[in-house]
Amino acid sequence: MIGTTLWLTTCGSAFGALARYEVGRLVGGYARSAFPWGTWLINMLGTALLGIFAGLFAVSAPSLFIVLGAGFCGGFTTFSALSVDTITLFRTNRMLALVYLVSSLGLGLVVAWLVQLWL
Amino acid sequence: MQEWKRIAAVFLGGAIGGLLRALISEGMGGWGKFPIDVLLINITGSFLLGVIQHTAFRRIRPDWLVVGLGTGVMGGFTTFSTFAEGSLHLFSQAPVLAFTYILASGLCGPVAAFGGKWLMATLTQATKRPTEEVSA
Repeated sequence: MIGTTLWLTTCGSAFGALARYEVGRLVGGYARSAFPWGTWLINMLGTALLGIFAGLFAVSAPSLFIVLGAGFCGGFTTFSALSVDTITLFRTNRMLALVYLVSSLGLGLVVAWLVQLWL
Repeated sequence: MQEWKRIAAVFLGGAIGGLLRALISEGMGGWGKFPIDVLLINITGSFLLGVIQHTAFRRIRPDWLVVGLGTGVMGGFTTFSTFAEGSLHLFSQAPVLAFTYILASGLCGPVAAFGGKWLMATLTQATKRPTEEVSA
């Protein structure tokens, strides 16, 4: 028996992963550089969206927030690609790998903070 | 045709990854304020993606299987947005814990990914010679 939260997260995550795949391909087509712009942008965008969804729906529509937050944003953003990208980049350009990792972690926090201030 | 298979694999994989994440989060929860569930999910997922991204796996055909497992399941399983939101939330309550959380995620994630890649490199090294002898 699958609980409501599990079911909602599962559905949202499927669409989130699909959106990540498509956005990643789109960004990858434009930005032909060693820097993983796709994953970087996806994680910043997803963090901003999670903050917006939290501000809009966390209290007023909890079920919708689970689908869009833990589901869609959780599936859209990724930590595993960030980790693997960092390692891959580290082999060829250590400085860029460090910039990628630190800017992702740091800016992610700043983005979440700014959205919270804004809403 | 192949592209539709990849899209379907990412969609289905994303669902499986999200379900696993929700199951673990609901099952174990955090250690008080500390989101140990998200930290463990992200470290485990980083390790497994390191394994999947190894060249031995990338050569597997059909490639939608690898895309579904990597981009789909591991991408859907791990999460950056919940990590960022969680760190911010923790900052207002316990700054030291928040700093520990960010440092642990930023260090253990890439180290786990390296571990996954290293494990695959070691395993394929160990099996390479016999296969070559058989094919020769």
